[in-house]
Amino acid sequence: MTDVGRDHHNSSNGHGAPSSPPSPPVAVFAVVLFAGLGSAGAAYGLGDLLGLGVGATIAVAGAVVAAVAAGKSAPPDVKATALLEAVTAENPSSMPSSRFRGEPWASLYLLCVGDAEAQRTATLAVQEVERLRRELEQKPATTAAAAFEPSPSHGEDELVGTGRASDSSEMSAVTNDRAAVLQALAEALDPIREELNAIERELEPVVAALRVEGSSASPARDTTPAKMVDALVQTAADGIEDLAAGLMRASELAGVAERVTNRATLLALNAALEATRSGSEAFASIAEETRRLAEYAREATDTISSLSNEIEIKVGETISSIQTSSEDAKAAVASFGGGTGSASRAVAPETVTALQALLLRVRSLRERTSVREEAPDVQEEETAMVHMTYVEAEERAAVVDVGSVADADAAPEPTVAAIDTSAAPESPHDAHMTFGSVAFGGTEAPPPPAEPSAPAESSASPESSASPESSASPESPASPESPAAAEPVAYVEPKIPDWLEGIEPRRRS
Amino acid sequence: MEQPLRSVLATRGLITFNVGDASYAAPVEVVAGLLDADRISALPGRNGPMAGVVAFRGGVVPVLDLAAALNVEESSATGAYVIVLERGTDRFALLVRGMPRLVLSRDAQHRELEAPDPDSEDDGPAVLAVYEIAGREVLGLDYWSLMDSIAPPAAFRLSGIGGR
Repeated sequence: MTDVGRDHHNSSNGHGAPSSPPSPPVAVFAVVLFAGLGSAGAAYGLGDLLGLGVGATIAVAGAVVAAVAAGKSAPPDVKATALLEAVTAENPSSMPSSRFRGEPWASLYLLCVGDAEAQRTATLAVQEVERLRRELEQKPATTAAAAFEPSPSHGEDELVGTGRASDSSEMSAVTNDRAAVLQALAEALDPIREELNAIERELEPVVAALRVEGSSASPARDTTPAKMVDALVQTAADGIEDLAAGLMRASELAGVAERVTNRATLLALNAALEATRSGSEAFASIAEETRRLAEYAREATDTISSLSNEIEIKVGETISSIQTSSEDAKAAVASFGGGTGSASRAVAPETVTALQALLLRVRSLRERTSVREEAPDVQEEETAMVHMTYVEAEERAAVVDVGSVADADAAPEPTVAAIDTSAAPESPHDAHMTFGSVAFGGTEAPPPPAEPSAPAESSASPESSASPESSASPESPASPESPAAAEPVAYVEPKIPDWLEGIEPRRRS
Repeated sequence: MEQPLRSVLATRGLITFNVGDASYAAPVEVVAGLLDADRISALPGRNGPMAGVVAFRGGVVPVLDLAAALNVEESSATGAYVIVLERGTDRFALLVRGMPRLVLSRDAQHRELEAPDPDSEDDGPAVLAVYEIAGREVLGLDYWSLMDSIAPPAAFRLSGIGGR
C-alpha cells in the first residue's frame, strides 16, 4: 500500500525524488480502489449487473478523492522542490499554482517570486545608470545635443552586463560630464536663439498691424461682396414689389375713377338734357348737382392720376437707386477681387490667427533656449536626479540581497502597503525601472502605472526632495506614460534564497 | 316750281357729337337720352351699320352705328356712347364715339340752308339744318330717314309685300 503511493508520486514527476513515507490519503485511495474493484468483481461473478455498476462507481470515486487528497497533502520536501523549480523558472508566474494553494506555501511562493523580480529590477536600474554614464563619457560635446534630453526609450535599449558603479568618484564624473554637455548645448543654441529673436522682431509688427486692421475693418467684414449684392438685390426686389403693388392698385383705382367720371358726366348730361327739354327749374337744379358730382369725380380722377404719376416717379427713383447700387456692388466686387491698393489689405482672420500662433511658438522656443542658458539650477537638478537614481538603485539592490528574504520566516505575510511605501517611484526618472511592480500577500500584482508624485516621507535618499521639482521639468527623460515600463526586459538570473540552498532544484527538460 | 321745304329750327339746345372729322347735332327735343355703349347687346347675324339693341326705359331700341352708316373710319380707342332718338313712340339710337355735348341755343347760331340742287345725284343723308357753334359748322341730319333706309319699319315692309 505504501509503495503504491510512492510509485504514483514518482511517475507523476518523472524524476527520482527523495523517498518519503506514504501519506494516509494514498493508503485510503488504495483501499477504496481495491474494495470497489473487489465488490465489482464479486457482483459480476454472481451475475448481478447492478452490483457491478455500484462497485465500479465506488472504485472510480474513491480513486479521484484519494488523488486530490494526495495532491494537497504532498510531503514538505516534495513541495519545497516544486517551489524551487517554480521560482527558478525563466518566467515565474506571479500567482502560485494550484499545488501551492494554502498557507504557508502560497506566501512563500509569492515571497520568492517577488524577491527575484525585485532583484532583477534593481539590477536593471544599475545597468541603466551605468549605460547612461558611459554614453556621457563617450559622446563628444559638439554632438551631445541628441543626448541632452534623456529619452524614455532608454529603458528599451539592450541591457547587458551586471556591473555596478560603486564609488562616488564615478558619480561626480557623471555630473561633470553632464554639465559639460549642457554647456556645449547652450553654446550651440545661441545662433538658433538669435535667429528666433530676429523672426520674432519681424513678426511682431506684422501681427500688430494685422490685428489693428482686423479690428478696424470688423464692421466692413460683414459687407462682403456677396452680402452686398444680396442686400442690393433684396432692396431692389422689395422696391419693385412695392411699386408693382402700388401700380396695380393705382391702375385699378384709375379705371374705376374713370368709369365713375364718365357715368357722372353722362348723368349730368342727361339731367341737363331733360332740363333743357322740359325747361323745368327742378331738373335744372338736379342737372347742376349732377354736374358738380361729375366735376368732383373728375377731380378724384385727377388725384388718382397724380398718384399714378408719383408712383411712376418712385419707380424712376427706384430704378436709378438700383442702378447706383449695382454700380456700388460692382465697385465692391472689383475692390475685393482685384487685390490691388487698399483692397489687398483685407486679410482673412485665419491668417492673423496663424501668424499669432507662429509668433507664440517662436517666443516659446526662444524662452526655452534662454532657460537652458540662464538657469544653471536646472542642470544641477538633472545631475541630482541622475545621482539619486544611481544611489537608489544601489540601495534597492542591497536590500534585495540581504534583507527581505532573510526576514521572510519572521514576517511571512508582508503587506502591499509596506512594499509600496518604499518602492514607489521617487521621480519620473525611476518610473520606468518598475521598483513598485512587486506585490506581496497573495493579491494580484499587475504592473502598476508609475505615479508622477512621490511620497514626501520617502527615505530612499537625501536627494529625494528634489523630485517634486524635477517632475515638473520639461526635460524629464521618462514620462509616466513611458512605454518602457511595459516593455520586456532582459532576463537576469535571480538569487536563490539561502533557506532553499539545501534543496536541489528540478530543471525542466 | 315748288320750293323745297326749309326746316325751321326752333330748339332749346343741341346735342352735338363728332363722327370722323365732321360734327353733327341733334335737337334736344328729339333726343330721349344718353347711354353708355357698354349697355349695347349684340344681335346674332349682325351685319352692316346695325350695332345691336339697347334697353331703354322698358323698351328695346335698335342702335345704328353712325360712322358705319356714313362710311367713316373711326378708331375705337375713345369711349362710345348711345344717343337715343325718339319720334312719337318710335325710338332708335345712334352709336357715336366720344362724349356728346349739350349746347344751348343761345350758344349756337342757326344758318339757313341753301336750297338743295334737284339735279344733284348725291344720295347721302338729308341735311336738315346747319349750325355754327364756336366758329365750327355743325350738321343736322335727317337721322330717321337714314335709319329707315337701313332698317325699314315693319309697316313699310308689310306694304311692300303687298299687304295693306
